[in-house]
Amino acid sequence: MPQPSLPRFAGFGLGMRTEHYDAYLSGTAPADFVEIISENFMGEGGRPLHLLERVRQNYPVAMHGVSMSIGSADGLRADYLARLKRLADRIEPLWVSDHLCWTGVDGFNSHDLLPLPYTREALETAARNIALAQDLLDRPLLIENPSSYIHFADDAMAEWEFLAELTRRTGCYLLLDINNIYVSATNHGFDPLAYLAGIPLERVRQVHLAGHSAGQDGLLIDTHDHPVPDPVWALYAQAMPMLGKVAVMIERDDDIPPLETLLDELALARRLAKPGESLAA
Amino acid sequence: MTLHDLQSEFCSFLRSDRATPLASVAPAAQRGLGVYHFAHRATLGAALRDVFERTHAWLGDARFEQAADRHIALHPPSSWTLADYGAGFDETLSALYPDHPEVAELAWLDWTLRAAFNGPDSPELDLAGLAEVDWDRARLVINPTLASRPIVTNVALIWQALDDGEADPPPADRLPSEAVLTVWRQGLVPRFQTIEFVELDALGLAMRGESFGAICAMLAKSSAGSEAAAAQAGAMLQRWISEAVLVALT
Repeated sequence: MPQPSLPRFAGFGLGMRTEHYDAYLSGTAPADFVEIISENFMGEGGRPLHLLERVRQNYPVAMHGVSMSIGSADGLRADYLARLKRLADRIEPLWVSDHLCWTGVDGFNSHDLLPLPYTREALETAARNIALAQDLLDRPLLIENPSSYIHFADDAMAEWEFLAELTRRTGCYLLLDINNIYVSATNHGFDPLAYLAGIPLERVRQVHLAGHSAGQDGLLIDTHDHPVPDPVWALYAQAMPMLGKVAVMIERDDDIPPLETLLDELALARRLAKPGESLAA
Repeated sequence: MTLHDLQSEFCSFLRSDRATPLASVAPAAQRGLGVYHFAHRATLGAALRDVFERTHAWLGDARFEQAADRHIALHPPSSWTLADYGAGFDETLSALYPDHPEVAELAWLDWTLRAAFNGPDSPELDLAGLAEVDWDRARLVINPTLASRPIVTNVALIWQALDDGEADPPPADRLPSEAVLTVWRQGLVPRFQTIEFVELDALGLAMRGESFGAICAMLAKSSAGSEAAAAQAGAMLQRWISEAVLVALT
């Protein structure tokens, strides 16, 4: 079913992490929106939902999920979608996003964002699943580009071609993770600017910025436990003039620093979003 | 290779003991398989450490990790949410430490408190309307987060000491007689309490839809006399009301 177009939201936000709840509850954190990990608020009740509803009174909220598994050959889980819809209906988010990945099949759930082979069959599977999720949720999805550490022997297209075709087939939008582009480009040896050139940028509604770590064998690992590094800032500064009005967010999930540190990063994100600005300024 | 076959093979790879090459993965990218193999176990281990914080403190790092590894090997995750992954960890610990029942009891308490934290909300009891209640016929709606299990050790004391960060929690000790540990959420705060079996029987009657009169009749049979039973029922009811074990009357 065709989805309604998703209005743009221009702003700079942070992830809602427990360490900084007080600032979001009081509304004193100078952020334009907050992003939640959807699954953390999909329990039946209790303090998480109670706090989220109070935060929602102060900020627009973007819902970001990790468990939809849109690339699973087994299809989507009805119980998951029902809970996600209940949360979305309750919170009225800016949008609901998840990842271009799969998490398991045959009743097994790895709880990891596993890479898809970029084949015709995987494309048809992901498109079918996204269309179903959008229909059930009654809203368009944002799909995030993943970071990856392998690619498959049968890959028939590049990741950006896969994403472009998904947006065309399903009407979904994109959450562009600049760090993930950088990490995957480094791990697989492609040009991140070719990635940006191949993405339908008019479908991007949100940008993620994050840090990564150096793993074994020269691979970069998307750990979200470091500040945004200079090469990611540089790629972001190149991408922003192409994107128009989008929501930008600092994604920090581990070794959470004081809020002021994240706000400094957010201030840099605001500055670099303006044409002509650079890290050196 | 179909997508399902590829994904099924990848799941088997994640569950295997070692990261071995996969033919479906491009030759130049095989080195990245280890990242996924490691991350899978690390994620599940972190989930167990998060929920079973006091059990971890009681066992120490080495024994907890050993138990976590065993649980991960025996129980592949299946739920959509990682929050469900600790289900049954108390049974894994019971099998590993059959002579130390406090370990499984601690794990059950850790797990059940977390479940109550996220459990369903309850209405607030209408205290003003209590005076009008026909208690003999009234049916008691019990807090939907209430859970219970029999215990044989001083697990409640141990858990509290660990939660308070005490360096020397009390040693495990057998209770004089088996008791019942209950967990529920009062408002937004999970709570636990040790009760006697007769109170568990009373809660069971209430949860099966029996009237308060039927609960009083059950207590009369197990008490020294009708006055003692009435006093016991009154005290029980008062506590259930003040601690939000009772959330509504029908």
